[in-house]
Amino acid sequence: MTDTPKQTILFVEEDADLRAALHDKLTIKGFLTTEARTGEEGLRFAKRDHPDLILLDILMPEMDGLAMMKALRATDEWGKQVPIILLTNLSADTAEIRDAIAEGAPVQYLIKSDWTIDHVAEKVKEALAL
Amino acid sequence: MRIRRKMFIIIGSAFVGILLIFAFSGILLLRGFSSAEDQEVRGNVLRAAGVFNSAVDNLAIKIYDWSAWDDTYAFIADHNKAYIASNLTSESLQSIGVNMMLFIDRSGTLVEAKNIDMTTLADLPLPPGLLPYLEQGSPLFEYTDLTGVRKGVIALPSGLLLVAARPIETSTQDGPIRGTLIFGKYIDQAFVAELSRTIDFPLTLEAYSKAPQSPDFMPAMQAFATGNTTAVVPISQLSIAGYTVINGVNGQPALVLRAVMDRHTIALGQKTILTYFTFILLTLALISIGMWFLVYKFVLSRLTRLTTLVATSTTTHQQEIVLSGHDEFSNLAEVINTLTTKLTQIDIAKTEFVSLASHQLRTPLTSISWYTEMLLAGDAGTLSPAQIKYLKAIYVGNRRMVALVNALLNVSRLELGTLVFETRPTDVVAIAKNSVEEQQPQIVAKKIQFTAEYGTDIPIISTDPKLFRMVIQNLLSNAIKYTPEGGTVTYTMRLNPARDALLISVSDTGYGIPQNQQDKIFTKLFRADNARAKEVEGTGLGLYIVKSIVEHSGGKVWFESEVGKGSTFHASVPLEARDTLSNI
Repeated sequence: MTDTPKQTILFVEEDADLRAALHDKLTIKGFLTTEARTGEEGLRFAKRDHPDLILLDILMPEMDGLAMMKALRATDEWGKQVPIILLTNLSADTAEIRDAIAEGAPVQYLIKSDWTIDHVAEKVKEALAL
Repeated sequence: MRIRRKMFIIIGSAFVGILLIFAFSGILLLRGFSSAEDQEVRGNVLRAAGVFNSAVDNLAIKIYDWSAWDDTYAFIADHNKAYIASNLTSESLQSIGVNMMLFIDRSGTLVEAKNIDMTTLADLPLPPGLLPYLEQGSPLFEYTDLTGVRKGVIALPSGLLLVAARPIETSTQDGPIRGTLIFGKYIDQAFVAELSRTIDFPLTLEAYSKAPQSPDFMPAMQAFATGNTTAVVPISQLSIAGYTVINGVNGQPALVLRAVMDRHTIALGQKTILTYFTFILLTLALISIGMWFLVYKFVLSRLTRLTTLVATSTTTHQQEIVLSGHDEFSNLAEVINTLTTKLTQIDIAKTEFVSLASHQLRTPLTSISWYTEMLLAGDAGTLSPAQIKYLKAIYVGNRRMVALVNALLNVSRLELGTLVFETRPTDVVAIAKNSVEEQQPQIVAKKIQFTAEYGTDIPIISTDPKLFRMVIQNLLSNAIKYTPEGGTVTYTMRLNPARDALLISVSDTGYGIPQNQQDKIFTKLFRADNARAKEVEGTGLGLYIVKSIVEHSGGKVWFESEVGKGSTFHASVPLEARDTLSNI
């Protein structure tokens, strides 16, 4: 662990088990975490806490991940540049997702089931290093 | 059997059958005509015989003037020369058309005889063979009363002779009979010609004999031998001969009369039947051709057209088929369209279901995966070796499930057309090398001798790197999976000779694909029996995905395989991708 202050990761995830896993792993990897269950909650927490990176699921009740990303990018300067990793089980098949990725930079797209949780943590580190 | 062939047989059989029926009736009809002709010929020949008999009667009438004449009555008793000088001259015989006059007295003595040649009027000796007819007991003398007359034909070696005999008596036809007068007339050409003229068709006469001189009479003799008195023998298509026997004075057959006639009855019959037949044949031919045409135009060609349309729509995946016209076939086309639409909807619903179910499966699979990883990483404390072993089994099983779900998703996306083909400049050699690197753990574990050859002139090509990687990964992992320990796998990638396509080949010394299953190997979810038997893990989706991707980019996939020796899979991908950015 370095002396620099710990970086904060907000993850917006509907599934409680996956939230718990991400919390545990990212804590072990030396991050501070904030959790949200819905897009609406995620947007609120993001505006309040200004995390260093957001892990964002897509399929969620009330407000989905893509809508939340769009809203966040439209808020302020911080909201425009905070790195987002779309961490989802939805394949990037639809034009809606592809357009959102194209317009939502800086953003990455990961399929949850294709990555180990360690890899997810690696990707978080890489994104923050940029 | 095809309808075309069946129709041909049915129409052909009907044609032949009807023709046979008419042929049979034609034969019956012809027999009727033939029978009528027979009747006609027999009638004519009997008429000719009647004319012949009237010539004999004529001779009998002539003799009456001479036999019942007082001068003759006196002459037969006194043999006076004056009677001979004034009456028995050649000219007087000629004038009454008689060749011969014979005077025989009661004792049977030939008192006077005169025999002349009708043309030269010269006296002739009596013909040989005549004398027996002049002796006692001759049928010529068998009359019982004063008016009795004997007449008929005598066959002599020199020819046929008409004769008439009457008793010699007084002009008043009384007084004892003093002898017999006999008139003779040769049946010569002139006689026959006269006869022919009278009945209006050619006649010939010949002495009755079992072995006739003229071969024309031979067939009739056979008929007479069985007791017939008339015979009919066709000569040719145009003429027919009728025969009848005429008895001589002795009551025995003496001559045969032959009349030759035109066969106009039969000719008329044949002409009628031929006309009738031609008409029927033409009618049948017209009906057959008409039926064939109707069936061809309204059934066969429509059916063929519909089949072609359905086949084309099947290969091109074009939904709607359009068959012009309004008949049962266009109705069928509409039903097929409805069915196709329904099937397509069902297929899309099925694929969407698989896609949705796969997405829903990914979340719990991720949960299992991540927690297992965290346990194995020691995030929850140190584990015993047995716990590690069990967790690894859970982890590996879960990865297989993830792979299957991903493959199913790819298939459903290929079928739904939602798999995006994003082409960009791609270093295919790097992707291939990277894919080989990924397989290294399996290569090492199975002690496989692996060689890879890359063409040195392969350029950066425009393709979708993600899908290209999927193709290479599937081909490589198949080759390694289905090759036993210590086997050989070779990967080659080069340009084709025309340098417009990339050729990829993956050879293995694996189990091979059985001959009878080779045509199904690219079918979705199909796995060869021997692959299942070896308990090699697989989804049955890899080659289907490979084929779909390669064919979409305008390339093709093929293979050679032999059971026990191995398989080689080839893929050819054009350098200029067919679609730059479109859905599969």
